[in-house]
Amino acid sequence: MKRVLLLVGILFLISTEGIQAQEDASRYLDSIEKKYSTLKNYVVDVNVHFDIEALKAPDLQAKLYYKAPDKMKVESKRIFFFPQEGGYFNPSLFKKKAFDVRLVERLVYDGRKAVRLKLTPMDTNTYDKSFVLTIDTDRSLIREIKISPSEGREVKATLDYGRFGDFELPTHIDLQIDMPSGEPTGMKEFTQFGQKAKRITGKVEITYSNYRINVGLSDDIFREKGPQKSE
Amino acid sequence: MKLFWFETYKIFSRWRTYISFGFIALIVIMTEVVMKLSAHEILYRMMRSFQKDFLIFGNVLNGWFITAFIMNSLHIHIPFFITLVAGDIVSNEATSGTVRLLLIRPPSRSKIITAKYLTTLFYTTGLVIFLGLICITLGLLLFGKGDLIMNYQTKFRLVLIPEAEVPLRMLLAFTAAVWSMTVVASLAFLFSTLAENSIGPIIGTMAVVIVFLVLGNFPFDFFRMLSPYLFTTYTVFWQRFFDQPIPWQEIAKSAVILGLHNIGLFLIAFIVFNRKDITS
Amino acid sequence: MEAYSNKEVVLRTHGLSKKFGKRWAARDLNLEVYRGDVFCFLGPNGAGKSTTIRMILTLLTPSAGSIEIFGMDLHKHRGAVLSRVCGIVEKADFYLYLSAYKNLEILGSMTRRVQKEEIMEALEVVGLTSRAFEKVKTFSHGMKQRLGIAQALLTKPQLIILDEPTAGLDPQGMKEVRGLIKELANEKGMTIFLSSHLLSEVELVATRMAVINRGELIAQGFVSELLDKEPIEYSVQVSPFDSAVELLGKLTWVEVLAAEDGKIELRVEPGRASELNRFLVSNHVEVLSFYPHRTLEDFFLKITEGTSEI
Repeated sequence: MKRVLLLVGILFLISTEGIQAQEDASRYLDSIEKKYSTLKNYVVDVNVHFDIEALKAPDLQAKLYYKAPDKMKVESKRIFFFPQEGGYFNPSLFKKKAFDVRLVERLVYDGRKAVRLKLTPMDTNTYDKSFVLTIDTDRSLIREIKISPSEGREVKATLDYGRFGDFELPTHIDLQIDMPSGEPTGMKEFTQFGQKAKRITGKVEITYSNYRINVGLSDDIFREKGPQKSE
Repeated sequence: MKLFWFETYKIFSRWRTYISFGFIALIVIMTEVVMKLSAHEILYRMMRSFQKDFLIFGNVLNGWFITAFIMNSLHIHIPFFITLVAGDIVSNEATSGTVRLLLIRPPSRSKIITAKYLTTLFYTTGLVIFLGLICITLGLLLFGKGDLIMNYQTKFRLVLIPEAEVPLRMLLAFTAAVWSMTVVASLAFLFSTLAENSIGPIIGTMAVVIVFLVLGNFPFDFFRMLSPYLFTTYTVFWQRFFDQPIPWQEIAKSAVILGLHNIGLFLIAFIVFNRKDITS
Repeated sequence: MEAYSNKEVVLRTHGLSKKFGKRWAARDLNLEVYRGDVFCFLGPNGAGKSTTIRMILTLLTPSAGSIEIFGMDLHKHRGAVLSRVCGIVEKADFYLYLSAYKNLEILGSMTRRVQKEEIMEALEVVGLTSRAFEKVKTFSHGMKQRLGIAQALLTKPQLIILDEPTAGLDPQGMKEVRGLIKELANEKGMTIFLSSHLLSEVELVATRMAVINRGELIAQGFVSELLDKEPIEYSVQVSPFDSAVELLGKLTWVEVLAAEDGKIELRVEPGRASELNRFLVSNHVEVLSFYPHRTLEDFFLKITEGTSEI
């Protein structure tokens, strides 16, 4: 009996510690949310440099508009490619209530104390992918985002920050991407042979400059022409 | 030169010459109108593999893009329109009996066949330039301008060419397209020299073009080995001008191979015509 | 006839031969055409007339032999020779989608620069001035044949080669073309080389002739020598009939054998058939047809019997 009580006690302690750890992990997201709670909107100049075999393009420039919680618009006189994921800074993206947050490890990142968290979406209708974040715990900054959506795609964003007024915002995002290609259709090229399963792999470097923060962006701006719709 | 202008006058006095121009105009107008009406669907089909991972902003479906898209159909309809005239230019003289009037004149057969060949090249050039002009003019009018996105589906590659570079690249691409199409013209011209009616050369040329295209695209090792020996493998070299960076060596190689085809085909036609007994 | 010994030979062939496969279409032809001749190359269909003409006009390459025109070797001086020669092979085919004028302009300019006036003059000679700017596809066969002669005249050649120029024409058309041939020879001083399978045609237009059968030359010489050694019977259709019969009755060198239903059967002294034709025309009698009762087969039979050696 004593042994049984001991075992139950151990199990209880383990599970309590697990819950505590989970609460512990969520607070990192909390602190980020708090840090940027007064960031209502920003406008920033973006330069994108592609180093991807499957996408040959010169450096592209645009103006990016963001408005909390999730409005984004890109304005460019020319054609502009922008990564679907991890390309811009949205502090509202990682709300703790939306994810099951697990602490993966504590580490030193770039000479500073950091944690690595795994975020699994509670509602897969809202998010269809999980994230692994590396957070600088002292500065409450996300330094790395690993996105693992479905179909074997993988995107890893590394963020560098600068201080702009009251906020630390990304000046540079390096995206490492490795994605399977979609099915080929449309234009044919007669010199090539059978289709092989190919992947888009490479690096996208996004540089942000000239932040204008909390400049009062109206919703109308975001109703204007957006990206090319696929359907 | 005089003979060249006479030949040019003759082909442009025939309504069949204008069929080609008319149909090209019709094809381009229809394609561009349909593309205008179903722009989203086209974009979806063209870009869906990239749109999963990238947001694409700006005027992708612009006049340059439309032009490049239509140029991809160059393989089939332009050769057909070329053969309509190139396959007829010599054989028609035999069919109508005018060869007997033509070849008893002081100019040598060599001069006559050369004039006819130059006229064929002139017509081919005119046809491709016409395609280019109508595509670009109508495309820019209907779809506006912008950077050019080339989607090399089979290579799985998307290339973005800044608008400032597009006109020059387009000019180079159309020059290359003209060069490619002169091989089809030379082939039809040779068949026209061999035949005494127009149907044979037209069908013969189209058969060769289609068979070569099919053979060159079979995904089997045997056909891959065969591919370098098919001229159709090189006729798409105009697309290379939209690559990044432009593969000059590959372009030069294709251009030389096609040029050698032209020389070879014309030389055979030249010899055949000079030795031909006119019995019709 | 003696005058011919001093005449310039415009066209001469030496052993001219053409073989198609194993068949000789023309074999060892030695022809001589003198300046001012209306030289008729006579032979049945398939005898090798067209083949010979095509070789003379460089449409066919001879298998053997050579051709000399204006004293120049045709093979070596093709351009220079052909600038003085013109011809129609088989039938006159033109660019149907072009006007008569444009056809002449293009074809004429291949020999030398031609002026508008020259084109119109050539069209006038053949009576096509009013149709000058109409597309040839609207022309009848006879009109095309006349246009063919116009194009032959345009560059003012010294030698005109005509392959069966009256083939496919109605009697009126035949008459017009023959008249034109005579006019070219007599008034413009051109040398005419024409082929025909009609013996009557030879008698009506030619001064000299050569006979070919199965690719081989059977005879060559003056028409009068070869054809008119004995009186020939002719059938003539004329209008008005009665006055023609009356006129013919007055001629001592013509014997009227029968005259009924608008047709007169008569016998003419050798070499005077052309004279008879002229006589009737000058007396306002329209000659609707005029043909001998001798067939080409008869003639060949006679020649091959060795009765008409050159």
